[in-house]
Amino acid sequence: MRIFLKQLLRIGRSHIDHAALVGDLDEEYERRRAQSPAAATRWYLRETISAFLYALRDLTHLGGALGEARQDVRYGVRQLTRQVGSTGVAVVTLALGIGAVTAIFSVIDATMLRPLPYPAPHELVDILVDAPVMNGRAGRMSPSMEDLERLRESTDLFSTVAGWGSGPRELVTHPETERLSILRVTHDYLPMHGVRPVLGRSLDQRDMDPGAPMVALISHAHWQLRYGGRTDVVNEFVRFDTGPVPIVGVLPAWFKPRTPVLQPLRLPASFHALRGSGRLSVQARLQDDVTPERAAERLSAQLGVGVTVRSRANKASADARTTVTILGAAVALIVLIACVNVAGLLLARGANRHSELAVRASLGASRIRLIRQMLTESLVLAVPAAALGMTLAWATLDILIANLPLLPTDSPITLNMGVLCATIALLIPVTLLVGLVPALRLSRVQFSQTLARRNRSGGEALSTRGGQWLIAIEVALAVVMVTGAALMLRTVARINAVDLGFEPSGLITMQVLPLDGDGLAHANYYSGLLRNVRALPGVETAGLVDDVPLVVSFKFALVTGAGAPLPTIAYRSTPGYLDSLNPRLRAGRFPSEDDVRGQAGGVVVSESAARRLFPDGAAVGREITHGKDPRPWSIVGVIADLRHEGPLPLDVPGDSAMYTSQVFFPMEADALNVKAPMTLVVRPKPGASLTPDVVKQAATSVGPRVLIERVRTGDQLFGANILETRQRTWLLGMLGGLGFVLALAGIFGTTAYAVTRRTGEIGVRMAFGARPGQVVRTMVRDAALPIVLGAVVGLGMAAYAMRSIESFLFQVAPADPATLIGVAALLVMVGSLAAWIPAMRAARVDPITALRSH
Amino acid sequence: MGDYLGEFEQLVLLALARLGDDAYGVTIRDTLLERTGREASFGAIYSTLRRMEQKGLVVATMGEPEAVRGGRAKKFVALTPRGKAALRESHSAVVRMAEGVAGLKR
Repeated sequence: MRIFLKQLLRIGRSHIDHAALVGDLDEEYERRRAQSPAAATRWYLRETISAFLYALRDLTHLGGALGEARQDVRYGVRQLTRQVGSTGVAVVTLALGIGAVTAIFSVIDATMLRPLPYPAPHELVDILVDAPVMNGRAGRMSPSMEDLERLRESTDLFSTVAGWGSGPRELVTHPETERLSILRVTHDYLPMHGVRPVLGRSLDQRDMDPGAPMVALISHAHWQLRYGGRTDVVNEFVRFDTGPVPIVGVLPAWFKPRTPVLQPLRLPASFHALRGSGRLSVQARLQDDVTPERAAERLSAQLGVGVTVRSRANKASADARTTVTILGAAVALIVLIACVNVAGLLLARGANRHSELAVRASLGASRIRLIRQMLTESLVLAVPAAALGMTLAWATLDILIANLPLLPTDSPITLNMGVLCATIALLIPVTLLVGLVPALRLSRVQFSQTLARRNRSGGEALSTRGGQWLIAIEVALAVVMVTGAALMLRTVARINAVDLGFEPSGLITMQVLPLDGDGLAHANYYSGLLRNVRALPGVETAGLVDDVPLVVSFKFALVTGAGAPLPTIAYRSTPGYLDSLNPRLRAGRFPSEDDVRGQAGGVVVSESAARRLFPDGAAVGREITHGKDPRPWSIVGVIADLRHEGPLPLDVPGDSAMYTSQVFFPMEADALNVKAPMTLVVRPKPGASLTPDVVKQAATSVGPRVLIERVRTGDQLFGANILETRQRTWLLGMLGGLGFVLALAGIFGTTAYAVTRRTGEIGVRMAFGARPGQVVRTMVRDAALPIVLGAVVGLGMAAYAMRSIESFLFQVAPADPATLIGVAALLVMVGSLAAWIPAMRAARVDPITALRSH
Repeated sequence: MGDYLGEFEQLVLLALARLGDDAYGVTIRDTLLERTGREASFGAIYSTLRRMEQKGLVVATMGEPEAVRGGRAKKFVALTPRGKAALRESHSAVVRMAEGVAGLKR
C-alpha cells in the first residue's frame, strides 16, 4: 500500500521534491515502526494524505501563470462592474449573438448533422424504380411488394428491407370519437429503425399473415393522450368503428411515426405485383461498405428495370440545406456585428485607462502580460454573455421552431450537449475577436507620453473615422433589416383588414357527422343539435351549413334568374347560419323558419350573383330555378359577397369571378337526408364566455354517436392559409429587431468612445466658455452625420433588396415609400437618442480635471 | 525587502537558522516538535519550503542517497541572505509589537 501512496505524492511535485519527501517519510516511518508498527502505518497514511492535499492546494494557489490568471480574472471583474451600463450593453449584445448562434447550431444539428435519429443512419436508403415516361418526363415510383420480397433475398446488399404505407384515416369511437391516421408497416420496419417498444412487443412475421388476427401498436404520445399512460394498455384495444383491434405494444417517445397507430401492412393480393400503387414505399438498410450506387446497379440488373437507391440522410440534409444556409448566413452576420460592437465598447472603456495601464507597464508588466490581462477581461465578459445567450436560446427555442419555416427532420430540435459544447467552443474565437484589437491597441502604452500628456497619434484620427464608418454601416444594415420586418408587418395588417364580407371573430365552428342510423336518425339528430345548442346560455345564434363552406371547397350549380343560367357556388343552410356569420345585408333579410317551412322560399344571394342574375333591378322578391329543377325559389335577401376562403387571393384555375356568385338555399334541419358532414356555426352573445368545448359537449349529448372534427374559433379559421405569412413575419421581424438593437448598441458604444477620447478637447472648449449644452450637441452632431448617411444608403439598399421578398407581401409594394421613409426616420431618431445618452457624459466633464489629465 | 512571513514560515526559518547545515525534512520537523511542541506534517513543511524557495529566501542542496530512505537523497535547505534579512525583520516586528504588552511574559 505504501507504494501506491508514494505514487500519489508525485502529483504536483518535482522529481527531486518527491524523492526527498518520500525519503523523509520512510526515515520517520522506520523510527516509529520500532515502537509500534500499527501506529506507524496509521501515521504514514495520515502524512501521505496531508501531503497530497497540500500539493493540490499549492497547485491552485501558487504557480506563476495560474496565480496571475486568478489575479487577472478578479481584476477584470472589478473593472467591468465599475461601469455597469456599458458592461450590461456589451453582455446583452454578445448574448444576443451567441443565443442566435446556439439556436442555429441546434437547427443545423437536427436537420443536417443528425436528421435521422436512428442507429447508423448513413446506411438507410429509399428504394425507387423508374416509372414509365409521361409527358416526356421520366419519373420514379415505388416498387411492388413482389419487388420487396426479391430485394430481401439480396442479403449481400441489404441487412434489412422494409415497407410502409399510409391510408385514409379510420374512425375510432372510444375513448374519443375521432379519425386516426394509421401507418402500416412490414414486420422489419421497426427493427430497421432501432425501435423497441417500451411496453409489450413489436410486430413479427406472423402479424403479416393475412389470416392472422389484426393487431396495433400505438405511439407514445397517443398512449399518454388517450390511454392515460396506463401500463396495462397492452390488454386494451384500439376501438375502430369496424371493430376493436388489440394493442400489442407502445412505441418509445423518441420515435415519431407521425401517426398515432401502427399496424401490419397487408396488401390485397391484387396489389402484390403492382408498382407505384400508392400504398407501399420501400426502405432498406445497406450492409457495411455497400454504396447506394453499387446497390442500384446490381438491383437494376436483377429486376430488369432502373432502380434508384437514395441515401435518406443525404436527402434530409439536402432538403434543409437552403433554409439552413440562409439562416446560418444571417446569424453569422449578426454575430459579426455583435462582436464588432463589443470590441468598440471595450475600446471606448479602455481609452480612459491609459494611465492605469502605463503604471502597470512601468512596474514591470510586459506587453504580453497586459494583452493577457485584457483578453481575460474579454473572457470575463464572454462567459456571462454565453450563459445568458444559451439560456435565451433554450427558452425561446420552442417558439422559434413553431414560427420558422418548416424544416425537414425526424429529430427533435433541442439544445443537446453537442450544441452546448459547440457554442462554448465558439467562446474562444469570440473572445479573441472581441478582445484582440482593443488589447493590442491599448497595450501599446508609452510610459512617459501617456502620463505626461495625451497620446496623440495618427491612429486617433483614424479611429474617429473608423467609428463613424462603423455607425454608418450598421445603420444601413439595420435599415434594410427593419424595412423587411416593417413590410411584413404591414402585410399582416393588410391581410387582417381585408373585408371578408362577414365577421369571423368570435365564431365557433365545428364539423359534425352522426355515425349511425338512417336518414331519419340523421335528421332527428340535427334538429336535436340545433335545439340543444340554441338552448345554451351564451349562444346568440346557431345554424348549419352543408359542404364545409368555411374551408375551401366548392359546389357549383347553375342558377337561372332573368337571363341565362349563371354558374354559382351553392350552399344549403339552416336559418341561423347567416345570422351567425353576420354578413352585411344589402337588401331584404335573412331567412327564418317560416320561409323554410313554406316551400321554395328563403333564398339569399350575394350581391354579385344578384347583379348577374337580375341585371335589370332588385333581386329581392324575384324567383330563380336551380339547375334542371323547375321549382321556383324566391329570394328574400341580398348580402355582400363572402370570402369564405379567407383574405388571401384564391389560387384556382378558371374564372375567379364565379366564386363571388353565391347562393344560399334554405334547408330544414329535420328534413335533412344527408350522409356527409355538416358544419355547425355558433355566434356567442357579446361578452359571453362560451368555449368550443361546451358547444362540442352539447353536440355529443344529443344521443346518437357523432364524429366531431375541425373544432375552431373564428380567429383560427384562416390560420392555415396565412401560416406561411405569419412564419415569415416572425423570421424577418426577429432579424429586423436584432439588427435594430445591435445598431443602437454600436452607436451607443462608438459615441461613448468618442466622448472619453475627446475629454481633453471638451475640457479645453468648456474652459474657453462653451456651455455643456453646446458640447453635447457637438457630440451628437458628429454621430448624427454618419447615422443619416447610413440611413440614406440603407434606404437605397432596402429598396433594392426588398424585391427578393416581393412574393411574401400582400397589398404592399416592396419599395413602399411610406414604409421606407418611416423606417429611416425611426432609425435616425432613435440612433440620435443612442448617441445623446453617452454624449450627456461630455457635459459632465469638469474642465479642470480634463485639462489636467491631458 | 518587505516579504511578509507567516507564523509557520517564521518557525520554519528559525528552525533552519538553528539547524544550519543539517536542515532537511526530518530534522526540521524534529526541531519544531522539540522547541514548540507542534507536530507539523511533512506536507506543510514542504509546501512552506517550496514557497520560500520561490521567493528566494532559502536555497537547497542535495545529499547522498541512503539505504534507510529507500535509496533516496536528502534535500538540505539553508537560509539565503535575503531569508536571513526577512527573518530578522519579521522577528523584530514581533518584538516591537510585543514590547510593553502586559501579560505576555510567563
